Amino acid sequence: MPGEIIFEFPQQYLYPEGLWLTIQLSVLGLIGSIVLGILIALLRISPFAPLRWIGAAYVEFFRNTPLLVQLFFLFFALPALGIRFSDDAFVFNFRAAVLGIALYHAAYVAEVVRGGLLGVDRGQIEAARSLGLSYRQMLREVQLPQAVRSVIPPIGNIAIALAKNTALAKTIGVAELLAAGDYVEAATFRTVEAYLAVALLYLVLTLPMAAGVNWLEKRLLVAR
Amino acid sequence: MRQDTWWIFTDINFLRFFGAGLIQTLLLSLAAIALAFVVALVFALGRMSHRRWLRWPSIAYVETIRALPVLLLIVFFYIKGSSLLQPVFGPEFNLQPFWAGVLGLGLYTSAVLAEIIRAGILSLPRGQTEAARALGLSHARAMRYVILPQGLRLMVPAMMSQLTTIIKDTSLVATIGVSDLLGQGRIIYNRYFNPIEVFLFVAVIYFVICFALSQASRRLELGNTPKAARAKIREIQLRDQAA
Amino acid sequence: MRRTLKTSAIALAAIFVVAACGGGAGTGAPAATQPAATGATSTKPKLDLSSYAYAIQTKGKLRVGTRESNVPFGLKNPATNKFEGFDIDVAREIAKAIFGDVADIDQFIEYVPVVSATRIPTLQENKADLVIATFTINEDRKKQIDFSDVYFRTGQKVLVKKSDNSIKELKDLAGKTVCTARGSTSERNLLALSPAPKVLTLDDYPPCLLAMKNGQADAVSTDETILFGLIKQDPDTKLVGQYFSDEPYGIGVKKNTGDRTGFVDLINRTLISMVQDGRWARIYKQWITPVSGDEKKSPDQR
Repeated sequence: MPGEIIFEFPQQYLYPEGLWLTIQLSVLGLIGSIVLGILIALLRISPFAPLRWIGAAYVEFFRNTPLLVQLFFLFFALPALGIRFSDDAFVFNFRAAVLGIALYHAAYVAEVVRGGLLGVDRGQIEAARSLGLSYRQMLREVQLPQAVRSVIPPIGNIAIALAKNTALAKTIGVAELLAAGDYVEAATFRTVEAYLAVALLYLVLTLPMAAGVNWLEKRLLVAR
Repeated sequence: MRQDTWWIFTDINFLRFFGAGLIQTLLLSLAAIALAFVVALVFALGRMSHRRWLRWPSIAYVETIRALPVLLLIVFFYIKGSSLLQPVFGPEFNLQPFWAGVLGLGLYTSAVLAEIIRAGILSLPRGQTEAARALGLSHARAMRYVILPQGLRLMVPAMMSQLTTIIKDTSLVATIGVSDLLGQGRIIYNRYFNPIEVFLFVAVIYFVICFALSQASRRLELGNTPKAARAKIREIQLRDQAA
Repeated sequence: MRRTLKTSAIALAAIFVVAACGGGAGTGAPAATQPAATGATSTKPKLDLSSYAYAIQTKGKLRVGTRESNVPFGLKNPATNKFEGFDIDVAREIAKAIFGDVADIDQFIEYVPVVSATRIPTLQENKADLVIATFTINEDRKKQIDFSDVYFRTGQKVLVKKSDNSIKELKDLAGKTVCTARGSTSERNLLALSPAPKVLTLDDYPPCLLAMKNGQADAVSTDETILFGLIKQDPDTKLVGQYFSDEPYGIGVKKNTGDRTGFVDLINRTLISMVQDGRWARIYKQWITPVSGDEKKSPDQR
């Protein structure tokens, strides 16, 4: 049974710990990418052209280069630039991974959020402005609340991609789920079992997310 | 140790070295998307079949593969691919890392493409099928001559943008020892200790290729993809754009 | 549309063919097609028809698993796109034992890049005929694969920054972060230390050196000779302490289940004759002496 290896392997509960790190990477990465993504989206729709360009450059750069290259770059470049986060190498690697994952997915979040904001009826925006609301008030009171509803399902989809992409963190020395699989494989040479166990744990993580997103999509569609 | 190594990027030998990596990257992408397309067609049709024994395995395949990290598939085929395929190709068969990458990436992408193709076909008006059936075509023939060609044509831009994703994802094969663009870069920074320069250089190359491709596919997309299909494809691509 | 489908199918097939060549999956050099009868009249050594070496000779390629970034043992030189180093030269001698003493032996060798963690799978999955990659012989590994006799002997040491005076011997490593390659014996030796340091594992040794330069690790630990290679690349580092392990390197071969007949013997015979006729000493002098400063005539000379 492939599942047994998860519990059978004595070495400090590798799989559960790996899974826990994967979950931490996913949650922190997602929060980071949403916060950053909203900021970039606001740049993208700013009335001030240079801000729009910065937003566009960010999105295009991070979407069109591999996440792996970005992670390696952070891993080597941050310390060279004197950014260390922590004296503990493992904490540093983890934080660099979270940062890399957040930066990359923020580009996708930004595009979704921008789409949501632009999707709000222009008439409403003009009405709000003509009622005397400032740009910022209008954004907060009219445009953002409407956009939120339309962006939740797509962000759910990004969250699924993000959870899968955390696997790349192993290449910069974070002992997440896939790295646990590597370790067990190397120690036991039971390749199929070792990786099937990893696959099962990823499925446990991502399939419910997928089901949740599908459910949300249907609900929000009906409500509209 | 941090001496200037920018000269590497103007030396013809080093450019050739990177060029060899770039060729591997591009060949791997093309081979992977070709494999993906064939497999995707099978599972997209399987998923839309009226026969349960075809439909259920197809759904299981697509949903399972989509839920896994592509790096896991690549690593798995690297370590286990040869012995999995030895019953087919004989006991001396060995799966090169390059082909392990093609299999891992290709099978992952096949699940994504299957969903894209299905979305394209489902977006066609029902009248098409009905008209074809009314003309006396069997279900299979209606699919083959009427529905599939139209559905596929609609999906060309989506497939192109999937190619962008594949090119980015090929960077993952550097972790299993394929000398692709990133793999060659790694050899260089391991020797000259200049990872920052190497990664900037490599990133720029990936960027130029992927940016050009994504712009091209965006331009195509403005064409005639139905709105419903476009929304579905966007959703698929958000979930499955890997690394 | 049918036509487009057909042409695209042809295009796809073409891509596969081109990719197959590009992927290095080609079926060997022209020499491979030479029938055995004419082969015997050329300079090729006569080999037992049932031996694995004979199968390699007829195939025309010896597949050598080796490292790409491991000065001075195995490295791919970006300026020439060729492999070089101690391990590579030993592999070339083995190739010569199979294909004869030809000038450009590399035409008969296909290099398969490996890292520490992929050495055993590379053999078990038949991706390479032999792995020569600073591969320590030990009992656990012997259960998975076969090893040749020892062709190089070294031991594990610790590399630190020159300015670092806090680490002088092994016990000073307690609580420090030590970097090494994933899946290596060095990793295991470090974890077995008591008290154990925190072990950071990356793919290869040069990234470990970079990590130490960046302050992400306090020390790098692996076999002394590999560390010599790192010092050569970065003179701002130094070795400390005593050997804390014995690392006899062997050449790895897939376990013989009737499909590797006589292969380890052929390798061992080649190694013995290399030591006897001074080829081993010459290779040592070319690659190891510049980093270690000493000269040796055989692997077991102390």
